[in-house]
This record gives sequence, C-alpha cells and structure tokens, in this order.
Amino acid sequence: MQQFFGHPESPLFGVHHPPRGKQASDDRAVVICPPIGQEYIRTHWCLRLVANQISRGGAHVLRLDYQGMGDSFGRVEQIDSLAVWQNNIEAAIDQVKQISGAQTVMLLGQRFGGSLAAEVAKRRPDVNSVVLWEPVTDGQIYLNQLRTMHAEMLDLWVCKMSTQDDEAAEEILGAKFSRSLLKEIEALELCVGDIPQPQLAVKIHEGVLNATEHPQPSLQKIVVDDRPASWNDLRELESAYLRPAISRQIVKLVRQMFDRLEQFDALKLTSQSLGAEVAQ
Amino acid sequence: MKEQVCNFGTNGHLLGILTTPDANVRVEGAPIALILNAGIVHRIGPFRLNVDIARHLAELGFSTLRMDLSGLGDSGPRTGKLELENRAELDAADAMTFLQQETGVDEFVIVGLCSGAYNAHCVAVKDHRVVGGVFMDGIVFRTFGYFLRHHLARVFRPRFWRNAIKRRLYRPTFTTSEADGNALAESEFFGGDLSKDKVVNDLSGLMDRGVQMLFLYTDGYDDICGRSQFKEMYGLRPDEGQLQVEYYPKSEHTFRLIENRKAACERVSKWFQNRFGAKVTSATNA
Repeated sequence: MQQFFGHPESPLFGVHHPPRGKQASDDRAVVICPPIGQEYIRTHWCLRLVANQISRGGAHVLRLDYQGMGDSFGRVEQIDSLAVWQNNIEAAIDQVKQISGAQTVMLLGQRFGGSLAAEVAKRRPDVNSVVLWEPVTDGQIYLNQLRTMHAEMLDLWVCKMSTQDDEAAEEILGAKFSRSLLKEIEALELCVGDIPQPQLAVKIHEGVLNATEHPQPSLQKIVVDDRPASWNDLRELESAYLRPAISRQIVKLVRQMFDRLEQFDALKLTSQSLGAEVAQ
Repeated sequence: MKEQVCNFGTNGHLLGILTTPDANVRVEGAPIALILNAGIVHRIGPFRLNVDIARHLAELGFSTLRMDLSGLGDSGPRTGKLELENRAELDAADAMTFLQQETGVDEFVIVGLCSGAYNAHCVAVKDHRVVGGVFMDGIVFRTFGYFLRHHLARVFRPRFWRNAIKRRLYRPTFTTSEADGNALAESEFFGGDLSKDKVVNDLSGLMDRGVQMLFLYTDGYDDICGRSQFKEMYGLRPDEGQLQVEYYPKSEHTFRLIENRKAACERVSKWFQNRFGAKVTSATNA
C-alpha cells in the first residue's frame, strides 16, 4: 500500500508491503533505504522486487523516498544536511512500527542509503539489525566518482556545455546539491565497527570495500556479488540496476537473520542486549 | 499544492499521484494532465522530470496525475483477456474514468516522453476525452532533410569527430548482445506498426477534433534534427496555436541537465496556461 507519511507540511512517500505467507509476522519489519540521486531511480525496480520477496517471507516492509527524491516533498537542493535524510529514515522506522506493531526494525540500505542507515542504527536502539548493500564507505571517493561521470557526460555533449554552479550549490548528474550537504558527504567515512547491531554486508567483489568488514566478525556476515559494479559507468547512468542472483541471496539471508533474532528473542530487545552470536 | 496517492483500475492495481493546486490559484474547468511512464522509469520520470512538470503546473493552477502503467513502477500487472490491446490505452482510460468520478473533470491532456509520447499518441487518437497532448521525443521518421542536416552537417563538425574518438577511448563499442538488447527494448515499448501515412492521418483527426498539441524534440533523440523536420514528416506547419513544435538543440533525450529540464517544464507550463488557462474550444484553436 502506498502512502504519504511524516509531517503534513513535508510529506514523505512510502510503499508498505504487508507480510504474506504462512510465516507472516507482525514482529518482523524492514525499512528499505534507497540510494540517492540517479542511483535511486536506477534501483527502484530492484528494491521493489526485493521488498516484495521479503514480504512474501512474512515481514512488513516499508520503502521510502527521501525528501527531495521520488514522490516525496521538496528538491535535493533544499537539503542542507545529511541529518534531513537520516530523520526521514527515523520517520519511516516509526511509521512501519506503527503499521505493524513491531518493536524493532531491520534497516536495509543500498549504496548511500546504506551509509545513512548505518548512522541511524547507531542512535536507534529499536533497530535490531542492518543490511549494508554495497554501501558508500568513503564520501570523498563517492563524490569524486560522481563528479568524474558528470564531467565525462558534459565532455561528450553534442556541443560545448557546462553546468551553472555557484557558491551555494553544485549540479551533479541531474541534481543540484547544496555546498553544505556536499561538505557532509565528503566527510562521511563509514565505520561498521561502530554499529552495535548484527549486520549483513554485501560487497562487490573480494578485496574491495574492506571498510565494510566488522572488527568483530561474529557480528557480521559478508556476501560477495561477483558481477562487476556499474555505478561509475556513464553508459549505465540510465540503466535499471538488476541483480537477481544477489537479490535472492539477500532475501534469503534477511529471513535467516530474522529467524536468528527471533530465536534469541532479540526482536523485542534493544540493540545493546543483542549478543554477538546472533549474526552467525 | 497537495499530493495524494490514487489507486484505480481493476482491483486498484494502478497507482498514480494526483497533484492539485491550492484553491486560490486553481483554474476552474481546466483539463487534468495525465503523465505516462517514459520507458521503464517509474512515474517520477527520468531525472524526476514528471514531478517537476506536475509541481510546476500546480503552481499555475492545474492538476496532474502521474501514473505507473500496469507492470511498471508500483503498479501491479494487468490480468485478464485483453492482453492484445495496448496496455497504455487501457490503463490511461482507467485513469481518466477514475479522475472523472473523483473530480468531475472530463477533459484530459496526455503527456509523455519517448515511449510515453508513443503511448500518448495512441491514447489521444482513441479516447475523445483527450483534448490536448504533450509529446516529448515521440514518433519521428527520418527525412531527406534529416540526412542533409544530421549526417552531412556533422561530418564537417569537429566536435562530432572529437566525441567519436573520445567515446572509443572512454569505453568499448557496443557488443552485439547490447545492440540486440536495445532492439528488443525498442520493440517492447513501440508498437512498430505506425506508418508515416497512419500518423499523418491520426494527426489530421486530432486537428479536426480540436486537440491542442505540443511536440518537444531534443538533439539527443537521434532521429530528428531541427524543428523543420516536423513539416517534412507530416506536411503540417507548426504555429503558435493548436500545433506547436519546439526543438532543443542542446538537450539530451531525457533532459539530464537542470537547465534543459527547467526549459522544458516552463515551455509545457506556458503552453498549458496559454491553451487551457481560459478553456479553449475547437472554434478558437488558432
């Protein structure tokens, strides 16, 4: 079911997938945190499928559009801090808890959504676990990659072309970002060791994204997507991101994580109470 | 401005977002704009173009429904025995019927980009509730003038050669499977049975019905080069009235840059205001 939620003056758009199947449970809830910018559009269909499959496994799922993206209120250039999008995730957590009656929620974040979810997880004791799907681990590198694609796009334009940047904002791949937001993105460094909840991390291939490896391995499971990444390929800028194999694997592991959390009665506990063994 | 979720169609399987203007700016009796999907991008449109258009129109007093066709975005698939019918025609008809029931408005302006423009054309021809259409990079046919302006002219354009070399350096050429994939995608979204004569006939019918039309084309759409191609294709001379045509020589097909998107939004909004700000009838077309 699709709905607007949050403050009436700045409504957020979300899609709630109710639980289905024999294992339908009101204790299991997931908030899907999508990527930002053009990656949000590329991954929309993939995340819809993932949400459907997770709900078929018996959990409530809420997909949200951040402020300035999708059908939600506002424009990206009005966002001056990452706190806005983090607050959006918190509003989605409250929303899915209200709909389902669940006491705790799993966050599934992809790309920059993973980085935002990780920050939210640190301050919300009602987040029981986190899925980090190819998360952005270094904001500076991430922005540099986007800027390189943007420059390449303009370089190959039919005529000499530039975008109008000023002291207040910069246009990158079709969206205008405020300087203050860019500054915060640049400063972002994902440290999964700070996340107290059990987590599932999806890496692109072995040896890359070491920042997603938790110092306490028992708290984390890592899966590897063997297919090459396409995030920084200009040819793929408007191609749908479809990864059926890794998506199925994630859905399966999400269900296993819920089973383990339930087994340890952790769906009703705060994050501090979770044991390290739960993730394994 | 207010936005609300609408579910309609068989068992409410279709989804749309209805954007309505504030009461103090609302243009009474104006048609509602119905925005269709571009390719497989969900209802917000490439680079959020459809949201920009909807909110721009709302500021000027017009309502919009941006919808997902069945099986796209957040709409469910269409089931039943009508699979041979054009899905877009059925879905758009469901949307218009729903809006008629909900708002009492019985006239609509259909808006689409690329495959959305193709679908908008089919819907406009078939459904007489459509009183206007915005066709962005829609149906085109290459003409002799196109070959002169596009192929011949670019040979003498240094930037063409520069970009061609750079593309090879940046990335490998398309593989056969990619080319096959593109052809398959094209056949999926375009019926392919529209001949030039049929389109000319369709457009004449729309003109006779008094349907207001705006055609926007971009340089990024590879099959058209220059505004004059419209007359070469269809034998119709664009004007500032019922049949308006705009060509953006610096824009990509999906309006990737904010500057291009803004220009398109403003053009669509001004056209809407001009043609429907005070209700246009077929007698006052020109």
